[in-house]
Amino acid sequence: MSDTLFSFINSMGLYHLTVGNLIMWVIAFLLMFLAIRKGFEPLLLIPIGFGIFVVNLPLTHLMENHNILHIFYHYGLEWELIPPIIFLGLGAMTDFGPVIANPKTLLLGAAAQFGVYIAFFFALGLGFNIQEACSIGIIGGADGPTTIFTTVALAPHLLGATAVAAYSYMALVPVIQPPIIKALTTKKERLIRMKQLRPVSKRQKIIFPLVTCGLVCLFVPASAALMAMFMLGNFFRESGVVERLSGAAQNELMNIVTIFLGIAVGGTMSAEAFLNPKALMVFGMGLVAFSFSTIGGLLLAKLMNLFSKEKINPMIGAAGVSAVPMAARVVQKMGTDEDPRNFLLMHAMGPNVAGVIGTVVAAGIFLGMAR
Amino acid sequence: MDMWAEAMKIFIFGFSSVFFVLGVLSITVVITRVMVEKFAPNPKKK
Repeated sequence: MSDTLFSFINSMGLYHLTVGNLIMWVIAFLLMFLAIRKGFEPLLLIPIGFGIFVVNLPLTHLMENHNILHIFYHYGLEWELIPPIIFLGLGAMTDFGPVIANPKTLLLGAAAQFGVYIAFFFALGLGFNIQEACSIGIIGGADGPTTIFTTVALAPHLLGATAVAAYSYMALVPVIQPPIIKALTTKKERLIRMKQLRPVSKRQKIIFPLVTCGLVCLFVPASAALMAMFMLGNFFRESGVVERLSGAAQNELMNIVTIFLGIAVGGTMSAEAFLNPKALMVFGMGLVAFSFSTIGGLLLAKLMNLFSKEKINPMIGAAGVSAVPMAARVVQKMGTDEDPRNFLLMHAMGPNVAGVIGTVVAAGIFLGMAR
Repeated sequence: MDMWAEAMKIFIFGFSSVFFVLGVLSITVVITRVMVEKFAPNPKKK
């Protein structure tokens, strides 16, 4: 009788609940709270938070072979399927007009990858190996799918930490960036008004995804999965003849894979895998990466002003840290705070979308050199 | 190879490649613009 009772109790998850599980629940509820109450990246943090909660329910084995979360993780992430599909949707949502109108903003998107490499070195200094350091560094690109894509390929055991760090810091861009921007620019620089962007023809917009895809994939083939899907989505949008496909990529498909992505990432965050000093260090490195990426973009913008007759507002350099369109909105807000008639949003969208391309290139180089 | 030497290689090749690729892309965008404007149909021409 006592054996039966014991085996019954032993079969209950409650009996196996650990302090680690409880801590992970707190983290899960915190992420869900931030998403619901503060509006921080709710589309991702809700499924990630829920994934963390359920994977830390003992004996559910949701992340073991042939169980639901493992299936999402295995086919969605290990097979590197979900991040490129998200890029398809992002491409269909992105207007490259500001980049085409002012192509030098592409260089600001490149400079804003500075934090990727700074965090890479910091991570190495803290004892991470090269593959792990690449996965941590790429958080500085402020691009969730690229971070996930790189981490799954190079350091899958860090996936939960890098993904949550990337999305959390992306949500915190309005908090992280303004003090850095203010510290590195003068009031006079923040007041610079930029000339209105020239109009971009439909033909140029149609050619852009084809040229970009061909060029980037020729130079960095390892980035092809992300870049090809990104540009395909944009080609759907700009061609103007496949509105159904463009709509499906932006809405239905994007929403479906976002659910799978979030819950699969959350599923990787079991107490055993997540509660270790390395995960905390990843969060710290994420902040370093974001900050230095902002600095990189700003400094190049200031440097460009030294050599260019037509001044650019250096704040738009900070928008090079992807995080579309949050970083551009931060610049717009800071611009109008200084001068209510200074509208920088479209100017900042140039480096902002260029930053996405820059991060994909940086990730491709990491994958090509460190895998 | 020493880890730091490997890391320096990744940094130097990596960061400069990001600039190179996006720099070439920006030049290509300008060339494309010139070509498109050059071969755009002239609205005045019947």
